This record gives sequence, structure tokens and C-alpha cells, in this order.
Amino acid sequence: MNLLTLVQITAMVITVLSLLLLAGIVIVRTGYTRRLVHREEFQKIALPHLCAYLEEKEGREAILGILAKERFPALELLMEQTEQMDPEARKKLAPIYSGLSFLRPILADLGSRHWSLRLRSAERLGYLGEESSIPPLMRALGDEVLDVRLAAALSLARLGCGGAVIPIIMALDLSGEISQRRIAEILAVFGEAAEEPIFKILHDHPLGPAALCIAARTSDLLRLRKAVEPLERLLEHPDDDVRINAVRTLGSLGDPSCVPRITALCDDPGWEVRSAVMDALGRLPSNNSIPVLTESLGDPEWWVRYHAAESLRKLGVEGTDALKKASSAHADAFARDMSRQVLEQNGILNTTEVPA
Amino acid sequence: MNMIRILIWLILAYYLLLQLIYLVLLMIGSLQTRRYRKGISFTEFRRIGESRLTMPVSLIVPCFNEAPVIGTTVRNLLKLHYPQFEIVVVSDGSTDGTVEVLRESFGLRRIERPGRRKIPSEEILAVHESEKIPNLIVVEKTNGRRADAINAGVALARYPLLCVIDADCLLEPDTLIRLARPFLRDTRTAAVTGVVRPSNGLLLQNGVIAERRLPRTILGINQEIEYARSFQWARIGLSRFRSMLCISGALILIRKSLLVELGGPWPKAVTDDIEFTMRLNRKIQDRRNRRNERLVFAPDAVCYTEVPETARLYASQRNRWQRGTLQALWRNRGMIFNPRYGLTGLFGMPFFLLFEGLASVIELSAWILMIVALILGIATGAEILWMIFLAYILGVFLSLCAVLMTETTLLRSSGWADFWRIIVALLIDNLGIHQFHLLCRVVGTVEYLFGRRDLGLAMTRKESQPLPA
Repeated sequence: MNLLTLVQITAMVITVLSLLLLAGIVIVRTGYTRRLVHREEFQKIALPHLCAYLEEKEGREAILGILAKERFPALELLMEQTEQMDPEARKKLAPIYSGLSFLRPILADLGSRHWSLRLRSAERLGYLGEESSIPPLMRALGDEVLDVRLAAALSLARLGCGGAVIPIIMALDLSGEISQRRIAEILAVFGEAAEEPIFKILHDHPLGPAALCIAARTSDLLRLRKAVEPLERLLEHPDDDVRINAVRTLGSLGDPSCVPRITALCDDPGWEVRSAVMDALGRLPSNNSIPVLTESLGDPEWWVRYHAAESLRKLGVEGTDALKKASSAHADAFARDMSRQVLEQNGILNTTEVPA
Repeated sequence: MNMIRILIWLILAYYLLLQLIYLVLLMIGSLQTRRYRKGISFTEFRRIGESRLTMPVSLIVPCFNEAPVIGTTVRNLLKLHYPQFEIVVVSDGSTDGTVEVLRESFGLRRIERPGRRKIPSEEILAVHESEKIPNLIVVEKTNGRRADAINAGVALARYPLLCVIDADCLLEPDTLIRLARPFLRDTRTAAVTGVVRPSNGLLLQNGVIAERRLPRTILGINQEIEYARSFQWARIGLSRFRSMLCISGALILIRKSLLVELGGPWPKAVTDDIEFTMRLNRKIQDRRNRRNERLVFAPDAVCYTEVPETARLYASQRNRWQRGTLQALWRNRGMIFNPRYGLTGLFGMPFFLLFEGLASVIELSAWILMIVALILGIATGAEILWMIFLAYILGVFLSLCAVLMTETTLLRSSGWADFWRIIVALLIDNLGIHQFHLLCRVVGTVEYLFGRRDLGLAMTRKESQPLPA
């Protein structure tokens, strides 16, 4: 066969393929459009009935009759509604979830070999509110895919299973700040159910430094005031990250009695710790920290100076006066520069209006 | 005689290889997007939007004489769903009243804010903040180029993530959240980019995109297909092979520390985005640096940019892109076939050189050789016609693949009429527009060799259309 024949055959084959592809696109587009229209129509019909049920104007059987026609679009609709409701109101949807018998097929997906199905399943189980899904979700905390583990943890949190707090901390990847913050946000979803286990971790240190960091962050999100005392003890922990997280949380919890313990760390060898200390002092309303903050304006590290200046500004008139004074009279040139910068940024110094 | 014949067949083989690679890239792009969508959980973006974990973003908008569009762009950015962000508009010596438009719309007042100059740039003349919008800053500076304006904006940006977008760009409200997602999932993320599509047919309502229609001209629709094929699907495929060597300047989210470490985009670059992306790859892919960082393509983060719809502006833009590509390749030539850069050096850079930088010259050679062969009687008219037809139908097939993939996403054409317009446009693309594109790039190559480094014609902007009542 010569090359021209080869070109001719290739061109003809691709022409036929192109025509088939075009037909395929038209079919795909038609199907996709129909599905979208169908889903929109279903939502239009189902949503008013669902709202009527939630307002107790319609019975359970009526709404189940409508939703049962399209079970999985109905599940998505229910999940959307759940997200927009407060935890107490969500309980009204539990009979609907159970009436549509989602549990078995969703649990079956949790054992699938496709990670996307396991992810979807782990996520959906959290909405169903069925206690029987707790053991499989606990097992899913050991899934090889991090996303599935996170989804299982979030579902356990939604189900309020307090016993899952420590297994979650142990099961999830603990390395790195972002991972720790993600886990803390999930643990915060537990609400009160997480308070005891978190306090126990902070108090008894049964797990390593990473778990202490997560517990400190979670107690901040939960506004766990009884954690102040164990957090103060963590200020002496040998791990930098633990001290940073303890300082941040103490600052965020806003108990001014911690100021002396926190200021003791202003000479910490780690600059990130000093920076966190300066930031925390700005959140604790106590003029006792003004001298320490003023002195730290001359710290060799930019972030420490910046947070010291910002914290002085946040401390009200006395702090701002100290900052103004430092901008002209501090012995350190960097301290003067930083004070001026923060005052300017906040419109306190040298802000000039453009003439009309 | 035989030599000419062999050359023709070699060029045909080159073209077939190019189309084959593109087909593979499109398929990989499609699979990647499918996998990406499967990994998104139901409440993911809502949680990112509410999370304290989400890093604040400084949006830098460099602009030069963008008075007709800058107000719309800023209003569009203010509608973004993102927990904490600021907008830093940098007027790069605009003379058309760009700053005046912003002053009228957002009530600017001048402030003293010297910023922290970590990258050199032309002099900053004034900094303004908005009286109405607390997170809007406008910087006036002496004219440099787009890259220089970005570098000046970095000095005033306060947040750890920088999102650089062009002044004519419009974003979907959740674009920033979708761009930020990879940073929350993986600490190795260095920069993220997304889908860039033509904005010419968009209809707006209060700064938000209300309806997506196609551009009105054939040239505009042609670019709609080109953007989907080359800048969306193929680029996702390339990112899989660590070979995304051109992140569009229209949309990039990058760690500020990394941008500063690289010294910002190069102000003398003809296309600063291509040059910066290559330099970014050089930094993070170099095995000696042990960076283990990655560039990510977010296939659902969408940005719309205005594309030229007149032949004159189109020619100027493509000429500039060609010169910029060659300049960037030349500056980073040490990466080509260099195993130290892994896949980027062994596949990405050679691919970019052979199928982007030199593609126009090779294709022109093919046309010349075919004419010579016809005149000398080396090839018959039928042979030449069949080869042209093969090239044409391969291009059509590839474009249809891109249309198929696009139709399964939210970026699908908005109605059957638009769909058929796209089909007609892709059928006639190779009957003149492609050849015109080729000519622009060949001229760009020649001008680059003769030392032309200017930016060509500026786009004449048209205001986006409001949604009809």
C-alpha cells in the first residue's frame, strides 16, 4: 500500500468518526439537557411540599409519596435543605430520610472499591441520622483515601458520636498546620459532645504533640473556657507548635488572667512563638502588657514587630498612645518604622484626603 | 526531488503526531476533570467559604487605559464569594481616566501607604482607598508594563495568596473559592490556575454573570473553540505531565512568598505570563532545589476575558503571543531536554518548542513545499488535496472532541442555536482563519528574530452588556 492510499483511508476513517462523534454530541447534549430539565422540574414540585411538611401543614406520607418517585435527586434535595437548617430543625427531616430507606444502598457503597463511591457514601451517612451507621463510619476512618476518612469523620461529628473524637484524631493525617486545622474544624462540628474528650487530651496528654495542637485549636473553636488551665500548662511544653497553639487559643478565649503566663514567653527562642504571643496579647484586654509590647517593637523579626504594633493599637487609647510615642521616641529605628507603618495603615497618622 | 517528497511526508507525520498528542491530552484532561468532580464533596465549597482555614487573598488587577471596563471588573470582583479578600487595582500610567472612573464609582481618597517593596518596580505615584468599599485599593504608578504593575501591586498586597487577573476579566462568583481549594488540601500547592473563556457574549446583572452567550463574530466563536480545546482540556492534560508551561495571565492564584522569591514577572517580557510560568517551573521542578511543589489546574474555576474580534487586533495579539513564546523559550532554553527538570524538561519544554514555538514555521514550510512539489511535478494535485483534507478533518475531529467534553460540563453552550454556531465555526476554521492565524505567527517569528519586543496594539475594550430587562 502506498502512502497516498494510507492518507486516503485515514482521512475517510476520520471523516466517518467525526460524523459519528457529531451525532454522539447531539445525543449527549439532548440527554444532558433532559436530565437537567427533569431535575429542575422535580425540585420545583418537591420543594413546596417539603416546606409544607416542615411547617407541619402536610403529613409525612404525602411528602414521602412525592420524594419516593426520584429517590436520589430527593436525597440531594434533602441534604441541601439540611445544610440550611439549624441542628434542632434538622431533626424534623429524620423521619423523611428513614422513610425513604436510603441506609442500605448507601452503606453498600461504603464497601465499594471505587473511592468516589465510598466518599459519597461516607458523606451521605452523616445526613441520615441513623445510629446504626456509626460502626461502619468508624471503620471508614481507616480508609486508604484521606478524603474518605475526612468525610467519615465529618459524618460522625454530624451524628454527635462523642466516642469518635479520639479515634478521629488518631486516624487522620496529623502532619502540617492545614491538616490540623481541618481536623479541628471537623471536631468543632461535634459541639458539646467533643468537650470532654478534648479536655481530657489537654489535661492528661494521652497522645502526642500533634494531638495537643489539634485539641488546642478545637478548644478555641468550641470556646472551651475550662481549657484555660491545661492550656496554661502547655505554655511550658517543649514542642514549639504546641506552645504556639496554646498561646493562640488563650488569646482567642480572652481571659486576661493569662497575661502574666503569656508574657513570660516573650523571650521564647522561637520567633513564631513570640509572634503568636504578641498577637494574643492584643486580644486580651490588659494594659499590663503595654510595656512588653512596646519593648517587642524592636524584636529582630518583622512579624513579631508587626504583631506587637498591631496589638498595641488594639489595646485602645493607652495602647495607641504608646504606639504613637514609640513612632517618634523608641530607641530602635525598626520599632519607630513599624509603629509608623501600623499607625498609617489604620488611618491614625499622616492620612491625607485627595482634594476634590 | 526525492528530498522534497520526503520532507512533505515528514511534515505530514509531524502534523499527525501533533494532533495525536493533542487527542491524548484532551482525553487525559477529560479523565482528570471527571476524577476532580468525583472528589468534590457536597458541602465542600460552602465549608471553604465559611472556614477560618481559608487563606485571605489579595486580588491584583494591573491595568493600562482600561476606563471602559474597569468599573465593571471591580464590581464583578466585589461579588466574589470568599471570606476575606482585597482588591488592588494598579493603574500603570493610564491616560484615559481609568482612575477617575474608579474615583467616581467607588469614592477614592488618597492615603499614605508606602507598602513593602520586595520587588523593584517603577515609581508608585499615589495610593488611594475607597470610602465605600473597605477592601479596595487603587495604586497609581509610572508606566512600565503589565509585569511591572503586578510587581508594584505586590508591595501593597497584604495577604499571603495573590490572585492576578487582567483588567478585562470577569469571574464567576465562586471562582476564588475553587482556586483556593488546592491550597487547603495540599501544602505543596505553589500556584493554581483555571479555565479561561471568551467574555465577548456575556450578559451581566449587577456585576454578576447572568447569561453566557457566544461572541457575535466568527473570529470570536472560533476563539471560543480554541480556548476550550487548547487552553482548557489540553492544559489539564499537560498539567498531569508537569508540563503546564503557560498559565494564562488572566487568572493565577499563587503564594505571595513564591512570587517574591522569583522576583515577580519579568517587566521586559513580551508575554510576561508565559515567561513567568516557565521560570516558575524552572524553580519548582529543578531536582536540585528539592521543592516538591506543584502547579494545579482547577477545571471548575472560570474566568472570562475579552478576545479580539477584528482581524487587526487578532493579528496583533497572536503576533505578540508568538514573539513572547519564543522569548520565553529562549530565556529558559536550559530546561529543554534537561533531565534535571524531570517530565517538564524531557516532555513539556520540547513539546512547547516543537508544537508551539516552531509550529507556524513548520506549517508554512509544508505549504511552500507542497506548492514547489506541485510546480515541479513531484506530487500530483490529488495527493496534495488529500493531504490538505486529512489535516482539515483531523482538526475538525479534535475540535469535536473538545466540544463533546465541554458539553458535559457547566460551560456547555447555552442553547441549540449557539451549539450549531459552534459546529459551523469549527467546520470553517481551517478554511481561512487558521491560515490567517498561521500568517500572524510567522510574521511574529520573523519580527522576533529582527528584535521586535514591543507589545503591539492595545485592545480596544467594549463594555460588557447588561442583561436586557
